[in-house]
This record gives sequence, C-alpha cells and structure tokens, in this order.
Amino acid sequence: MRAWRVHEYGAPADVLTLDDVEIPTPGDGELLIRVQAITLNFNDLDGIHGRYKTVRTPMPYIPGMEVMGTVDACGPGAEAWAGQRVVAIPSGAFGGYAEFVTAPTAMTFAMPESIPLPAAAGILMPFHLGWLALYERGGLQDGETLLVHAGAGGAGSAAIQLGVHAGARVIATAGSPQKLAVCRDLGADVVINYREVDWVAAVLAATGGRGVDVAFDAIGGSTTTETFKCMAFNGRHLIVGFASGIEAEDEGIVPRPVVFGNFSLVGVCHAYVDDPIGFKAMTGFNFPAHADGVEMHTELCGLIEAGELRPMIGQEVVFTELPAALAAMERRETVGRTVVRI
Amino acid sequence: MSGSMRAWQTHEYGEPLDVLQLDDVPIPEPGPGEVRVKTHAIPLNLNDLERITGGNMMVRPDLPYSPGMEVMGIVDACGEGSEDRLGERVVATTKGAHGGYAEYAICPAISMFSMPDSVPLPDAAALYFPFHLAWLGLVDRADLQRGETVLVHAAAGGSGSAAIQIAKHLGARVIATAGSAEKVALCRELGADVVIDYTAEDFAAVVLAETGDRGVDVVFDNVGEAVMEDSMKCTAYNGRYLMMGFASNKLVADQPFLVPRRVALGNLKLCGVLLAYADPDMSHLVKTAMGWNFASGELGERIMSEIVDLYSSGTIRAVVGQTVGFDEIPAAIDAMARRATVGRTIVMVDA
Repeated sequence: MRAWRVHEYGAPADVLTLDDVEIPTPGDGELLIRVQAITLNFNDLDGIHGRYKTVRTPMPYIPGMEVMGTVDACGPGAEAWAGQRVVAIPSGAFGGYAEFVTAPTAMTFAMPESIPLPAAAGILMPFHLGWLALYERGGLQDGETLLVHAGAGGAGSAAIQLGVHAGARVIATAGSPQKLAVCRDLGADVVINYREVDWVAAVLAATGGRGVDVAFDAIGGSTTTETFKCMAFNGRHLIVGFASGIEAEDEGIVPRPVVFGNFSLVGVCHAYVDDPIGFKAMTGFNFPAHADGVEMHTELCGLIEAGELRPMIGQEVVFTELPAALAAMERRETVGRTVVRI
Repeated sequence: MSGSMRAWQTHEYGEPLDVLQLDDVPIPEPGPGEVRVKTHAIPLNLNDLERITGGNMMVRPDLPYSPGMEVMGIVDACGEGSEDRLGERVVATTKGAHGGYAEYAICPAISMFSMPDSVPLPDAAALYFPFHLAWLGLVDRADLQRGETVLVHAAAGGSGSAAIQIAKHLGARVIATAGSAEKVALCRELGADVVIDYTAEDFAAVVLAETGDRGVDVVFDNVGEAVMEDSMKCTAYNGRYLMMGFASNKLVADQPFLVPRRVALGNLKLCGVLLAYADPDMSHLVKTAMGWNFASGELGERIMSEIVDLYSSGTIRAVVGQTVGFDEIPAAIDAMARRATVGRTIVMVDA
C-alpha cells in the first residue's frame, strides 16, 4: 500500500516521503481499516518534528491519528465490526497517512451512512473532545460564558458550536479577520483578534471584569498561563491540547495563580479504553470507557444529522497533497479541519 | 482609644520559642472599612508559622510585628463605613493576615462574621477558617454529591476535621488519613468511614482497595507535594482534586510543580481553593492586577450561617484539641509545628 512516512524528524514538506509498504495485520481486538479519508491534527506535527519526549515512534514511521474508512479485516475478538463504516484513532495514535491502518476497537466508532464525506471525517477528534471537555468535565451551563481559543480551528470551531448549543455566551479568539468571521458565523458572541489586541484585557472587558466561567484551551504554554487571568471565581479552565507545541504538556505550571484564582484546571484526554478500571490499575490514569464514548457519539451524530452541529471542513485535498496541506496548517493558514481524500 | 496592650511579636525570623516576645505596644486604630476587635480567643493556624519563621509569605511586614491571622472577640472600635458593627461578637481574619496574637486586632469588615452568643467559647473561636475552607472546597468547587467518596488528608487537623464533618453532612463516604492512633480515633469519632494511619499503611493502596480500584471522587488536600502523586493515582475519572494548601513543602506553591500531562491523563479537575474574602472594589483590583479571584462577603455570610446552623443542630462540632492561655502562645504554636496537636488550638485571652 502507499503511505507517507517520516524517515527523519523535521518539517513535513522536507521529511515526508511517499513509500510503498506492507499492509499491516490487525492483532487482538484490532481492526484493519481501508482508509477513505485522513483528517490532519496538530499532534501529527509534533510527531513529525520529533517533539514527543515520552512516546517515541519507531523510525521510519507513518504519522496520522485520525481516519475514516471501512473495516477490511478483523483481529481476534473484533469480528463483529466487519464491513462497517467507521472513524478511528489508529493503534498508537499513528499510522493513518496510509491506504490501510490498524486501530483498536476501543478507539473506533461506527459512522452512519447518513453523514457524507467530508463531514464524516471531521467529527471524531474535535466533537468528542469538545463534548467531554465542555459538557462532562467542564459542566458548562446555560447562561455561562465560554472562552474558546483558536475558534476557527478544528477543535475550536466544534467548541464554539457546542458552547452555543449549551446556551452559553461564547467569546472566541482567532488570528485573522477571515477566521474571526468564521467564529461569528458559528455563533460566537464576541470575537477577538489575538494578534492585534491585548486579548486578556478584551476578555475581561467583555465580562465586566469578572472573567469567563469556562475556557477551552487547545493551545498550551503562555496562552494557558495568560488565560488564568481571564478565569472567573469557580471557573473551569479546560486543558484540551497543546497546539503551541507538545512540549508544553510536560512544562510545569505554578500552582499559586490557580489556588488564588479559585478556579479549576481541568484535564481532558479522550483516549478510550474498554476497561477503565483495569487500565487505571495498570497506569494510574483515568481514560473514558468506550461504551460511554459510543453513547456520546450516537448523540453527536444525531445532532449533526439534524443540522444542529456541523463539522467545519476548511480544506479538502488529495493524498499526494498531504505534506503541503500539513505545512499550511503549521503556518496557521487553514480554517477548520483539513481532510485528505484517498 | 489610647493606651497599650500586650502582643506577642516576631522580632527576627526563627523558631517560635526563640523569636516570639511578649511586648507592650500601642493599641491600634482601625482605618476605613476596618474594625478593631477586642480579642477573647485566638485560634492558631499553621499558616501563622510562616510569619514567625519567615517562610513563604506573599507580603513581608516590617519587623517586629504580631503574627496571628484569625481572632474571635467583640468589635470595640470602627473605622469609617463599618460603624454599624460596633459591639458585635465576631470571628475575623486580621488585616494582612497578621496582628492577631494581641489583646486588640485590626480586621477588615469584609472578612468578619457575626458569631451568635448561643455558641460558647472555645467553640465560637473554632468555627471560622477550617469550616469556611472545607465548605468552599467541598461545596463550591467540588460540588460534592450524596453517595460520592471523599479522601481527606491530614483529617485530624483543623480543616481536615471540618472536611470530614461537612462531607458526612452532605451524604458522602469519607476516607481519612492521619498520622497517629489518637488522630485515627478522632477521625473515626467524627464519622469517617475508613481511616488510614499513613505512617503504617500505603494510603493509595488502601484507597484503591476501598473503592474497587475506581478511586475517589474528591480529594481534600492541604498537604501538597508529599501526597499529591499518590493521591492522583487514587482519584477517579471526572474526580475533583482540591488544592487547599501545601503544608508539606510551602515552596512548591511558586514553583512549576503541576504537570499538565498528569492532569490530562487523569481526566480530573485540579481545583484551586483559597479562602480570602474581599469587597467588590478590592476584588476588581486583585482581578485586574493579578488575575486572582477572592470570594465575596455574601458568600462568606452564607457559609457562616450554614456552619452556625449545623453547629446549633448538633450536626457538626467544633474540634478543639487544646485551649491555652495567652502566655502559652509560643509553646502552643511550637507544638503545632511539631504536628503534636489534634484538632484546633484555641488561645483564651483573659478579660
């Protein structure tokens, strides 16, 4: 099969090569997916640049953490999935920039035929993450104020919509007039160009100096610590990603502003497992149960079919254009999600 | 009012028995928004130690000064704007969180609450700080629900013993940790369902076993570094981890100590909890200058009234382990520093 591979770490356009490689074999509880669409993520860039300090992928490796396609073969115990149209996070959260990829069933969700491509490929990461973050962990309430960073991006555009859906007042930040227009179109009540104004001051001004009840922060680093100043009493600051660079994931945060801020720093990680309790015993970490994910996914797909939520696909490219599309994302030139069609 | 009063003062930073001196000093006058409290009782707080040893302080007052962040007594003089509080029986935070080891103390009116005559001493002096902190953490920040499980660290201490009682009142199952047989017994008596002597057992293993490996829904932690990683391992999915203080190492409060990855992989809420009341102007100033959020006086009034009601109905009790005389303050705070006390230490001031 054809696959884009990294042979040495670096910029995507320099280091990704289109190789002919063996089709992988699904193991226990895994599926082999024939990929129809690949959706690009900022975390892919962290892998390609070699910024992951803890989880090193074997070289050469195939990046790609989000795919949509049909189940082509099933490993032992996963036979029930044969032939299904699915979206999935591949095994190890890489391997997706290829014509075939394996994924654990715990990270795979059925995608109804009623949702066509490319929308079908734009749902898994941003809407699952947004739902878990805003509704489950953040407990966002009708009438509360929500701050969404990078509101025109994949995760941000989903968060704005989920915020509006919950009845929240949404303040969105973005870096260009075009992106601000996108945020407004999605329902943001206040939009702030973070490149042009002091966004902390602007958020405080928009909330009468009180700050926001919930912040959706997929950026990390200094954006995170600056956001602390925008949090209201009893607020929930959702740490959902590190688009500024994955290094921020391991950079310690000083407790005092959190303690003195009387708000909560909320971790959100949506890697599903079949047995959360067993997984906790093994690792000390809490991952959501796949069964709960399926319930949420069904509800999400219903809202998308009803037109209440819409995955924002800003760019559609073909497989050979993948490195260029990734480079554009890295330059912050993209809006919404980038879907690669095979 | 002119005249002088007795006050224990820190003259140089060091151990309480070495550096605290009993001085005769002028009785202070309250400014706008402040009152002067004639102290009847002084509850000691572990945080007072920082103002004796010179440890971790946001603001260092000029030496010599009196430590003491909490007092109970009668308002005997009022600054501009707080005249209506004259004669009130109150519990209060002292101005700048110091000045309380004295016969008179200046207190901002915003962080002062009425204490009805029906609550006798020494209990009246023991119901403010730890109970407000526990309430703010368990109710406001953690939204503790009936049937959930709470892990309370240092549960025989002031705020820990308050947390056990409030959590039980809310219908939660309580797992408490403490460091001696006597402290374990107190936790049980206060209603803890499971008590772990952390000097004898691995608390995280016991908590996981007690919760079917699921972990607890809420962690009440004022210990910090020494228990944090192990406590996160026994916090459940969607759990709330209350960061109330850092008694085991105060310095980490200002160090890059919280790793986002750990919080994300735990799918938990790391909740900052600070007990500090401020009026709207001060709140706005603090928010604008520092980005911090202090609680409103209204919230404090609401919490105080809940606490007094629960006390009056016998649902909760003040946990006073020791009462001492004014002359014994250095020895009493020294005993607290050595973790030799159980419950709260209340200094009774002679009339």
